[in-house]
Amino acid sequence: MEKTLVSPECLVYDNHPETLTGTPFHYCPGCGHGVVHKVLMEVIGELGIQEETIGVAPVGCSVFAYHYMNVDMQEAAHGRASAVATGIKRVRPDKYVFSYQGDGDLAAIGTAETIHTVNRGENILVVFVNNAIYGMTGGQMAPTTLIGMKTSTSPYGRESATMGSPLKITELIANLPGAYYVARHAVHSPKYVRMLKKALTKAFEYQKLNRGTCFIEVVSNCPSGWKLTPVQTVGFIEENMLPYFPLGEIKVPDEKTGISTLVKNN
Amino acid sequence: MVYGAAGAGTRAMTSSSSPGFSLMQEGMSYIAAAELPCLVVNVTRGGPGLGTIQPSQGDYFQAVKGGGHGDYKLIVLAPASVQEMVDSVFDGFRLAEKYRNPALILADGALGQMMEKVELPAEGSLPHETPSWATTGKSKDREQNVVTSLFIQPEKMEGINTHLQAKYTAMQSEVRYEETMVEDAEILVVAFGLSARICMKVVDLAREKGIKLGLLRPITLFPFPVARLFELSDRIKKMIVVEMNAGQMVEDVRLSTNGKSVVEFYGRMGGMIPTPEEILHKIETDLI
Repeated sequence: MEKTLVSPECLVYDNHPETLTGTPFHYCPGCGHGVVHKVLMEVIGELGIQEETIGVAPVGCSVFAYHYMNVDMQEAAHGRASAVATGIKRVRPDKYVFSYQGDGDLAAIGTAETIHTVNRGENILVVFVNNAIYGMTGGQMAPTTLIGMKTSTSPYGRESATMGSPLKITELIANLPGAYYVARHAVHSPKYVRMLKKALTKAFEYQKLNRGTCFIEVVSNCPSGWKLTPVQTVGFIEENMLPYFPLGEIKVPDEKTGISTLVKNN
Repeated sequence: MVYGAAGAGTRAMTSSSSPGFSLMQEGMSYIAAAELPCLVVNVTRGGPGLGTIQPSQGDYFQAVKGGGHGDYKLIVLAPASVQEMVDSVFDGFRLAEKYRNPALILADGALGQMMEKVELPAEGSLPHETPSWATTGKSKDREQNVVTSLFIQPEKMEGINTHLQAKYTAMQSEVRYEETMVEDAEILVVAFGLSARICMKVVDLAREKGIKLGLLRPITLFPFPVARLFELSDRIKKMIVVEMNAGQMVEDVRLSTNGKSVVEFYGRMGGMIPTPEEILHKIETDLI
């Protein structure tokens, strides 16, 4: 007789929401992408909007997002996800549209698209996964790479004199009038995952109101690119990433007036 | 944005002029690979670089040979009048949707600013239905729809390429061209767009002088009238291609005639427009 070692409800890998296809993630062990995927799709499932949601996948490690997210999706060129999402939302204004992008995609090659999409106040959700590195292409320096951080293209560590400072694009776009709800969250501990989930839920609910762009940054990790074990990346996030990329809401709408304002201390 | 809108199943188009269209080449390659029907208009100006804002046909290669990366083709229409500009929009969408391929109207700065009387097609003459592959929201009764150009396995990617090439071959049945006084012609001018319009006058001037000149004007630049030119080159041994560039379509005419005819070239570049007289002078000097 077959011996059951683990009770079925505890099988994390077999306990996915219907909004995920069930295809096993290709991500490296410990990578935050899988968690962000799952939380995002859980929210879509719980809100009951799977049939009305269209997503846009980026270029980078999450290029195959549509293999996992069980909604209609389009694969954009590098950096153009928010422009593609704009095109979709403009012709399907009754649908929920999100783009899922990394820091190389959103804050380097796609900077123009990102800024103008938010500036136009496109009524979409941008999920911005920031792991401070180009993970897929071999760990090169990204716009969000921290000062002193060693990457394959900054082998002696990033220094601001020649490489500029890590780009806080989330704070930058929060200042644009088109930004309706802007927040930064993380996925390296259950507490933060729950906070992210609440923020994503809010963002989809706000999309119904048609008042502007919702933009959620997720501070994530890259064990392979950072050359750290998954556990070590948790410490790195706490000690290095969060002081520079502080978590919390950056711009929030007033529930009654609908007017969005920057949160103090940000 | 055109990629997103077309992928969501609506009719989408954009327009630009040479440098702007160069910027769009990334998108054109993705749109062609993802097989999204759409329409783009390039009102060509003189280049290279920032160039000039005067009319040119210098973007022929970019239009008919791909333009972006990878093996792909656009359906390219070359109108020669404002009426044809209007008709090309409808024709362009019709062909784009039939073949799930981007279509391009290759005009120039003169055509783009010309005013002529036009007759608009009847309202509703080009009905549109949302295609089944479009990302409109995954309903319960179907699998998810994905619009992508990423096929990481080379076997799959080659299959996609084979499919695209078969589609381009099938497009040969859509070749459009117009012939003027070709029946008895001893010399053939081949020109498209504005150049062809100028060459109509050249045919008149030549005929007045007793020169048996005819004109073939390709209306589709891709697909190109390869078969017709090959056929005509059996009989007409002297051809001249007139373009507002350094000689681009002339290469396709030479490939089509495969050495059976002498194919001369006359062109002006950088936004200059040739006069009928200078074209006729070239014909009289080099082909008679």
